[in-house]
Amino acid sequence: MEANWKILCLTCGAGIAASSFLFFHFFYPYHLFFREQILLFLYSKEYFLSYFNRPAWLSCYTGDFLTQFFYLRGGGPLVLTFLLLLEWFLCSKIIRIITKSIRSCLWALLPTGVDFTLYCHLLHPVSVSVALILSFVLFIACHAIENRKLALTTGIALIFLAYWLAGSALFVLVSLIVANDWMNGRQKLFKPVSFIFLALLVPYLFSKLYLVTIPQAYLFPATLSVSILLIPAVLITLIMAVIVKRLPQRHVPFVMTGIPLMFLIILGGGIGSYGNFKFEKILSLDSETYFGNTGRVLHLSRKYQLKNRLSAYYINIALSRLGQLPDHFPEFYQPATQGLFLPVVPSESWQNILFSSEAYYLTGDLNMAQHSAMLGMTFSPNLRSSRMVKRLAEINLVAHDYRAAAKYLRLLEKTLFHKKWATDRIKLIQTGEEPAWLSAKRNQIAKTDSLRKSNDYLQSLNFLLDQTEGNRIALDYLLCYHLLNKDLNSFQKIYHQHERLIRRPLPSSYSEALLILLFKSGASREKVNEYGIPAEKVSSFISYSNEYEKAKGNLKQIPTNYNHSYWYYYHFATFRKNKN
Amino acid sequence: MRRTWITYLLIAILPACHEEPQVTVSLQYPLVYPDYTDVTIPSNIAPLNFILRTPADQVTVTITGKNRTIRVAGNQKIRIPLRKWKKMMKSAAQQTLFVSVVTKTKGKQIHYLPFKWYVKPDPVDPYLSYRLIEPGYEVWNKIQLIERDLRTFDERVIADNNLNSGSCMNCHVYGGQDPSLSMFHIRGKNGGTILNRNGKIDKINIRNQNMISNAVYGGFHPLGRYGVFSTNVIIPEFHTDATRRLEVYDSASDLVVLDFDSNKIITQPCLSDSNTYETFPAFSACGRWIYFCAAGYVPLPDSIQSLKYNICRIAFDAETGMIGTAADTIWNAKEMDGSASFPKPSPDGKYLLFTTAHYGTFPIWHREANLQLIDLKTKKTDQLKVVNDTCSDSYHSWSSNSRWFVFASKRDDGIYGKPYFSYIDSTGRAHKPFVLPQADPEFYDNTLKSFNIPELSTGKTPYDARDVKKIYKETEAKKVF
Repeated sequence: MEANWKILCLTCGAGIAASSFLFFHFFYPYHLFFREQILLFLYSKEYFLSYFNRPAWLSCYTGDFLTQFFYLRGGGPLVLTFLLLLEWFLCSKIIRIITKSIRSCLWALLPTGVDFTLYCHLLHPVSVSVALILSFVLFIACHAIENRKLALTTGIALIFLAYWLAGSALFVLVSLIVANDWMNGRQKLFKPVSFIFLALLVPYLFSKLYLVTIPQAYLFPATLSVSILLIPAVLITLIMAVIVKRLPQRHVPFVMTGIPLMFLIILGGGIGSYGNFKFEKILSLDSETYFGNTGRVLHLSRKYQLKNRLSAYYINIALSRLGQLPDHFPEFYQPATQGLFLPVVPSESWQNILFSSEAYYLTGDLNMAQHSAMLGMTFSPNLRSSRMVKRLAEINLVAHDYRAAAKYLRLLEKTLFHKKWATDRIKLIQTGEEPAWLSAKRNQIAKTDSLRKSNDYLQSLNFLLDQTEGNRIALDYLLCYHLLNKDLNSFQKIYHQHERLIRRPLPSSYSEALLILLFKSGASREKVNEYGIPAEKVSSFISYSNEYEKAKGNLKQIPTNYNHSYWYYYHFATFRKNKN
Repeated sequence: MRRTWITYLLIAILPACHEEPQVTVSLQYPLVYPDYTDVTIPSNIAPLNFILRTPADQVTVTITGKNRTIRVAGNQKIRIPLRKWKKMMKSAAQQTLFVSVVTKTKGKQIHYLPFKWYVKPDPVDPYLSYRLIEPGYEVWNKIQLIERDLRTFDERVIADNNLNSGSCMNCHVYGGQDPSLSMFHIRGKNGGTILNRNGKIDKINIRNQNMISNAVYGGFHPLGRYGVFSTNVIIPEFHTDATRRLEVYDSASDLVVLDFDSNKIITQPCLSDSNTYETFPAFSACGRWIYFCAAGYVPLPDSIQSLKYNICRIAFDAETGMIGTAADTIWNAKEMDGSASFPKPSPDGKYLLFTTAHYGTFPIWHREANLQLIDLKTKKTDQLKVVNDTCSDSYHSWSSNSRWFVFASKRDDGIYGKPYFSYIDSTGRAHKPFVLPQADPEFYDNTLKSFNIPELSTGKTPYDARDVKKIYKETEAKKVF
């Protein structure tokens, strides 16, 4: 019998491990990468001491320490699997202590399942799981004390200690102590009442010391109210275990199937509620852009076929990096010009502000890239971001502002996974070396200064083009901006101004746009030839024009082989207000 | 016999194993951060902990005064014990402390040229308050107003916007460095100016229908009854040069005086002229003048480089609450080819300290921004070359004895401002400044916050963050008229 339960327990453990690792590694990894990017964990005494300014310092520090490993592919899933397994194991042990139930390993699946699903929310911190684990450990330590008086005084001390170390997980500790006493026949009211009273009082008292609001004091280390669900999950599980234990033996088979079923419902329902697979796809495009895997961004874009501003944004960045923006942008969903830049305005989310730095940096608008990075970091949950600090270091390195670059590089030297990146760049400052990537970026940036409003992309791009010899990326962005806006006059003006910079053979959408213009102006064949538009393109345009006239404005009658042409976009794309 | 031979051999061999370190005497100062070489410091300052920037296995620092010596060892960081430091400083006034640094790296010892700390008996006011904020341009997230005891490393939070619905807080100033007379603004729905007078805090909404905005920059009359404020419509714009970052200008600005006893706003047409931008007001030490900056209208932002502010002053009668009708120009921007900000008279009335930049009204983002000092008697201007550096030296405030001033400088990295202290001796000569010392000398490397609006005071403010939270949430702002 005992052996069967052992096998069952091992199966539960293996099930948690397998499900969490497989899910987070294959279906939800990019949320975990992003978590590391919005954190800057430093190996420094002063950084460590800063955790004492808030409750739950040990949980927060440990949580952030573990989160840094989310940088590695597979690191996040491994860390979460380890935490969930440990949670399950300790919970199982505690349920067994309190209820004497041999099904404790099954019951422990339930709160573990809740925590599992909460990790689908971007802002559910690792410190909440660490806090829960700490509270379990404190309970086990408390339970080991047999002397009642000592147990009482230790319990009181542990309440304060638990809040200091684990924040709101204090409520779990107190509930477990009270439940344990009640289940073991210690039914004097003084201890449970005083413990519950203290548990409710301590956060309020500490709120004054830590200068947090009262809700924050009761939630910490959780920053989301949903994260606190973990606490009632543990308590409800305990209550159910107690109730079921008292049921007649004939109900055992129902329990044996019921608990795993509940676990699956929790997983399914939780992932359905908190999982954001659309955002996971966006994060995959974002992270792969950040990692420099341009080919993968395009591969994922083609796979996902998303129709929103953010996906268009990353597709355009990827195409631009390959020098293919004007050739291929019509093949993808384009929300007019909104897929070129992300505005840095109060109505945008902090994630979008953080993402917005990519396009500015790509086009050479360093100050806007710096603005986005600074604000993205300021408004991110932890006010620090390894990714943004790297961006700020890069920007200042490119701008020859070595003191500023050194500030950020020194910070990164105190990290585990960005240290080498920082050290390599510090060497560049020390030696004055200018590798190809740095040289290319410096050639993109403005040589003189001007003033402009933020989010004035046109002014910025025009200024960059006036200032630099070969900023083809900025030119493509500007020309594509006008094409996406269907402003062919502006397109033509810019085209003529910077014609020598445009590569030959002409990019597809440029020649298509020029043909529209030439057709409208009744240009001669010779005029068309002057532009160097390929003959097959001209023929294709003639065919398209015939089809367009035949269709009389009905896009369904246009043959699908023109769907990825600029002509199709020009004639049929309509502008409307988009929520995303 | 055999034992004797073994012992002899050991005695012979062992010294050969222990090599004398190769000693080098350097004629240069060690590369320490912060730069505390040859600085002038007050006798009541906390220890000047520092870090050595050149790698070393071990660092030994010896601080030698006339009567005492402190020896400190570390890997890279040097943390001077507070108690020993205080004992040394008690007897070190008017002395020069010699700081010698010896490093050991892989058997090599380097003795650097000792640098000096010139200790002045004139104490600096013991408390410094500042705003900690990301240099995030025109926006904010988490802001705290901190009060730091300069004699130790103790800090206290006097306002935290985490408790005030995330509202912006700014411009915390004292009247005459007096902790019982101070104010700062909290913006937002329940906002107002938090006024601390004689230990009682109140909330006032300093805006009436004639003012173009809520009060922005301000200062107290020496008697404490009046405050003078600017009202500004502030516009941010962005440079294309990434090292210059932000430009901020006023599309309109005026000045008003507020009588705190009656909550009456006092104005004067020449201080609310739509063709002139008036800003950065401050009362003189005697209270009979209001100093301020003023620039003639130019189309903005196109002509921003022509926007140059003079320093002017206008009479003020505290008894009647009347402002004069005509302003004098103390510092002419056109002649001086610059633009002035933050004129602050010294408490003894001798000097006027201000910031200059090439143009404009927001020197914190101007790398060329420097401090200058006018002797109000001789009218001579000191460029303060020993004080200024290459990256934005601006916002300053005086110590009550007029011997020290603190200012915000971005000299380290051009982005994050830190408070620097400089001494003015009895002849009016300024001395090399030093940055606010920290318990951990790596603090400034790790922080991503700027120290903004540093202000000195002689004592602790009589309120804290919880009091501010209470008044923010529970008190309705008094109106002015």
